Amino acid sequence: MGLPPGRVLDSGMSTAIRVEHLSKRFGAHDAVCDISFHVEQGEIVGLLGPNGAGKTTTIQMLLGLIEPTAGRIEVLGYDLARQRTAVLQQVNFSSAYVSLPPRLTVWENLDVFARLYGVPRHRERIAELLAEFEIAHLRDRPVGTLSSGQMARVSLCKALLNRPRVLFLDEPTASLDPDAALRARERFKAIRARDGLAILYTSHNMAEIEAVCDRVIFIHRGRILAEGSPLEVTRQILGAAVDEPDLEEVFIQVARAGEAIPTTAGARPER
Amino acid sequence: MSWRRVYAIILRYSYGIRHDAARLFDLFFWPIVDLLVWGFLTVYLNDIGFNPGGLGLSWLIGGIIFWTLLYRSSQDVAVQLLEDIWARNFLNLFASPLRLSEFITGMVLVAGVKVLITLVTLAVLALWLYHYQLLALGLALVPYLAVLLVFGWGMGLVVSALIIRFGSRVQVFAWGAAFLIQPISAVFYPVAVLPPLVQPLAWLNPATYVFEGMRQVVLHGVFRWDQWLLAQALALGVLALSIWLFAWLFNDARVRGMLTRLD
Repeated sequence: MGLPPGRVLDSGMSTAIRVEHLSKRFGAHDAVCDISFHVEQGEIVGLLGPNGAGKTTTIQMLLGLIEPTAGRIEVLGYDLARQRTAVLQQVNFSSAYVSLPPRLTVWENLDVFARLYGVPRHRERIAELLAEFEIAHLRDRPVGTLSSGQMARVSLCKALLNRPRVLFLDEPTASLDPDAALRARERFKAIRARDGLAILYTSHNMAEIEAVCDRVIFIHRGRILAEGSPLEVTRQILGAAVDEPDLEEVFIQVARAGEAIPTTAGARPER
Repeated sequence: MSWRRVYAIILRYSYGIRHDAARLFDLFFWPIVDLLVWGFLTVYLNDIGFNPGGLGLSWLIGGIIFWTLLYRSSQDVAVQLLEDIWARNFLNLFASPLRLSEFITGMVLVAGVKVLITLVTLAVLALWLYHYQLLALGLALVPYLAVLLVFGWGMGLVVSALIIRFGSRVQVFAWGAAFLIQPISAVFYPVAVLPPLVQPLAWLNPATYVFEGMRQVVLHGVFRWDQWLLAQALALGVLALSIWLFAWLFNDARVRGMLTRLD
């Protein structure tokens, strides 16, 4: 049964994403195996893990692009399986691996998506975002003629068009230079502070995750290995004596040690 | 169904036509080349006095115009889908509130308008170059067009469904699917010339009724409503089946995780 939209938890924060016992099996391969987690409204949560860990599959299930084998996804109190349109109306995403039609201009692309999301006064909204991302001068340029950094900013404009309450960012700064990436991170935090949206964030840049995320969920071979603040996750994997978050070291150890990696509190039981 | 989202899809593909020379070639260039080839063949056959069955030769021009409408209708639907796969935009669309029914409706409406643009272009050129009057078919023109349009959409959606299932390695069918049925469509010759075993197959093809019917209108001035109704029913059946197939393979792709790996 779906919860009423915008359900408020005891903590006083409303739950933006609630995932319960989510699994995805492709043939004999368990891409995601019985994971459960939640993201609160106003929280930025990093979804980490080596290549093939199940991050992208998880995000794509949260976007309704892949059908889970088992489990339940609730976004803003709506059951994704039964209320897909209501969920996607309030959600958006940006991925380094998804593009916009290259021959359409920046404006045309955003115009199409603004209408798909039913953005009120969409012309003003597009102009506002183009100004915010400092690409107003590119509005009549075909997207295919832009640099990868400019394209990433257009993709972020698309992701914010509908003032989403939940945002999925799949390696959003992968094609940005360090300065542009830093400004993008500052922008994400500013938008979160202003709009209170929940962000689920993946990146292979561990320093970026430490800088942006309130909480981290570390996935390995489809299972949650550790969960908590960057420091808590570091301690769960590297040992309690650690006093600084070091997700890069965590990442390297997990990638090299595979399932033999020791885990402490927050680790999920193997099935 | 949200017509606002249907309109967004219409806009998406309309903007695409404006900027893409390849789509303009599909819209005008190739149909005009076909018309010129068959038009001059008609002129030549007329000059040497070739007039089979007293039918005249103008039906060759009518045949190529109608055939162009059929294959363009099919091709447009499938190529539009491919455009979003090539552009890696497919996930953007389906991670939005867009429903499959809205996507399909938008795709076929744009394909329909493009086909009508091609039709008007070819009709004007045929009149100017060969004095062929498409409008001489009178009111029969509209129901025949409806059959070809609906049947073309159906074929395009079958190809689109296969692309969703097998990826762009089957994209060649986007351009070629209609030509697979051309031999049994009676475009340039009557069904009677086909081997007897193949003839029943030809009569399962809605396009056959249009081309045979067109010759009947030219020869006898008779429009067979019963034949048209059968053709339209067959075309609508193909369209309904193709929508079901598309929806089924789309959902299957979501289950198998293939939707996110289309390229």
